[in-house]
Amino acid sequence: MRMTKRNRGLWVLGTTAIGVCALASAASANPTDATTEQGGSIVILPKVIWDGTRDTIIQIANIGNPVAQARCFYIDGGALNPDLPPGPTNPRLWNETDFNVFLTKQQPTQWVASKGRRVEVDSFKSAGYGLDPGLIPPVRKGFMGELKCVQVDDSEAPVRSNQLKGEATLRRSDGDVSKYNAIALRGNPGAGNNDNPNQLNLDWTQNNPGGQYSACPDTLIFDHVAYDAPDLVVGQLGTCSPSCFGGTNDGTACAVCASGANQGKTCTADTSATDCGAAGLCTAEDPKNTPCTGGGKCLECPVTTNLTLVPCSEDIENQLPSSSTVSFTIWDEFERRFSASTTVNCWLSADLNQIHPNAFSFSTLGTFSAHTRITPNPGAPGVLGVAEETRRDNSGTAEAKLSATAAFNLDGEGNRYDGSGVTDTMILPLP
Amino acid sequence: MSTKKGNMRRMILSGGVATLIALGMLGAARADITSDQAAAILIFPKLVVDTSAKLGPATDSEIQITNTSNSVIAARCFLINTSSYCSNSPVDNPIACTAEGVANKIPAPNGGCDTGASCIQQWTENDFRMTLTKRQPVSWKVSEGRLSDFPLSSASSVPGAQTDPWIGELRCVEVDPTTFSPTAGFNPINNGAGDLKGEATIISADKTTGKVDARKYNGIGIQASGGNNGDDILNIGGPAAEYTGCPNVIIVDHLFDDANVSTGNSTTGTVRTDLTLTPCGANLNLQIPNTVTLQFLVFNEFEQRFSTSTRITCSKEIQLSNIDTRPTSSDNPASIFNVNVQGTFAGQTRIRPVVDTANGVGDTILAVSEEFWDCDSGPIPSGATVGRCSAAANTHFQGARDLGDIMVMPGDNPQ
Repeated sequence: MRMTKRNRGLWVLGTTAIGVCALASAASANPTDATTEQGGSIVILPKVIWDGTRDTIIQIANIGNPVAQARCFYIDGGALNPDLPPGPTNPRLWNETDFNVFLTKQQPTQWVASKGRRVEVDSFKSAGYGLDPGLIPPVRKGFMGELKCVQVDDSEAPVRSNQLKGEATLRRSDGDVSKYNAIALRGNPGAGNNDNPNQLNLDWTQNNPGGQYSACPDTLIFDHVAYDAPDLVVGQLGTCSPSCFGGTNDGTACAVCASGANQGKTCTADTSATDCGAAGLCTAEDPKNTPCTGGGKCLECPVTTNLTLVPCSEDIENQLPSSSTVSFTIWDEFERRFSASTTVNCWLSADLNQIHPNAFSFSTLGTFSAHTRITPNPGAPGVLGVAEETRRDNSGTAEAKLSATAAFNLDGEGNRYDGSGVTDTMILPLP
Repeated sequence: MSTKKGNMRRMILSGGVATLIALGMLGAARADITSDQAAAILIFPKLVVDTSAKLGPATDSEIQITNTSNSVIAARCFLINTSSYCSNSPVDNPIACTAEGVANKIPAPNGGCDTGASCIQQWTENDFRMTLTKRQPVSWKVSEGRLSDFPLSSASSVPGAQTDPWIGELRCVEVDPTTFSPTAGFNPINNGAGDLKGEATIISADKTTGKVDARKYNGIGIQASGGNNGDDILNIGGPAAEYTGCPNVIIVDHLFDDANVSTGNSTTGTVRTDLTLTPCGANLNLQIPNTVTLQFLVFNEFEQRFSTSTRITCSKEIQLSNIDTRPTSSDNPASIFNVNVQGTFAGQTRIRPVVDTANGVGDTILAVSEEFWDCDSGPIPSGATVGRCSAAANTHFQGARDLGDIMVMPGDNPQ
């Protein structure tokens, strides 16, 4: 009897411990998830630009003590005809250029996308000074696309020791900068390679401990400012009066008196303006009205957000770009829900109003802040991405001079493998 | 036979229990702070309000916080003032200062202090509650808060910054929407790890030049790790973890200060990096500032290694080149974080807080980095000042500590 009691006590203790451990392990962040804050075996910079105005500074580092080698791939997502928007008759190039980088213990390295990096003797304090990681080619002028680096061994077979991290800084010719962390897919050190070692399965999850690399998130989440919402801070600290953005009279003041003796007439200030008459209020004109012509909108220091998405699955060996249709659900501050969808062919970089003209807009949402969830459709490949916000003063004519960009990483929730039964794969070209 | 079986069963059970407890300890010790997933504690290490441009360009910060779950949630938040003021300031009109401003002899009230006065850092907090409905985002300017028009919750109210200029941080803890006691999250998809996410945007604008600058980073999340006893003492990591642990090492990849980076279209200009470091643990109840000693390992592109150390109390924003030198710009060329010493552009810095078991609330830190680029070399509109092009980024981390950190919240309910 005593034995039974003791055993029962141990069983209870054991069961409790199992429960505690299961809870602890289930509730902790999953070490198999894609991450922007830890090293990985695949690092992805979704947005690399060299368009003559914006260039990209790339930083990659080995965070481990053993040497790290990686095969890197620039994937050009520019349209065949750069003068026209991408579409079925103007597909994206999806050309890839690969190169190797070699990093010693804890070594950081950097290069500028437009210049690449040569293997040569450089002088102290110059850009190329340091152990060259290898010959890194420059991208063409007009390049817009992604950079992927996969950790490999001396034979260029993939290895999963999670030593790579990276950052990208987008710098405009006027000096404006915008920075984000690379997305890292963690590799499972205990997993073997496929028969084709260049096929990488993105299927490592808590429920699939034998998987190779982090599965892509099932849902991407990001908070953003409602598209074209007036900037709260620039409106307070900067010059922020309504003016036409875009169209044929870009930059023209477009406010009208909403009240007062001169109601309906053009005014010049954004608050109770004297030129509206007593107690008159000068506000931005309805965007649909003149005097903004040719598609311009009358706005006050609008905040805009650009979203860049890349599919997780890619067949670089056979040059088969991947496509993923994704759904957007958008919540405003009053818990009102809106939706939109788009297709990511190879590479998507679009302002939110290009994804849907109304669903993200301030005129629809009515609140400054919005919360958007991006979910690939059932069976579609996962996507990864980065967002970039633009803040500007009141003049729409000189966007490049008077605006500032700020990039930020998206959050992830769940994973495609467990959540949707999708196994994303990357197929690298034979080394 | 039956006794043998029983003994064997006991041994197996005991072994299993020990193994599971050990595994549990390992799990508890794992660091899982996150800036790309929802969490139960959300921390913004750096926020700035300086609307009258005393310490630099006119600046304010915007906060965005979202409930990522389908449930109604609540949060208790702490707006912590870490500004520094001159010791001879009038009580009702404190003169803000910075260590750099004093060291570089900038006159008060533009960052320095009058002769004889010292620059003393504050650490005071205002707390507030908010309730968020399903998937609800909310945003506000730190200078003003959101006192009267909080959407969908008349009981929620966000105070503005205590002073202007103001430098500080914001911490929000997910709590039960009924009892306002700390709780795990409600979203089964992330196993109840927490439902809060957020972003901070620091924006500067200049009415004269029209120049705008913005930098943005994700709030740092600390996820719930299972059982939460609901009291105001939050165990972050360690053997009795209610939340996952803070990291053992912070990793920052950066360009060395004063590197003159040339990008396409002949854009050139130097860069400097500031780190804002805040201890993971904090005793907000007794208002006892936490002091942490930090060891830095710095690697350049030749794999050459350097080290230095510093100590932070409460919170600290520091330019890399000031970590190992005085906070005067004239000392910067001699810093191991400066391109004039390292020669290479890129550096990797590993920040390891020194283990301090006597510290009552833990010894780990959280950080965010900011780059300030010299815009003057580019075609900037006339009148723009140096350093008006900035970018922020979340730092990387590695490993965990066996001993956890503690965050003590002030009591929320009237006694």
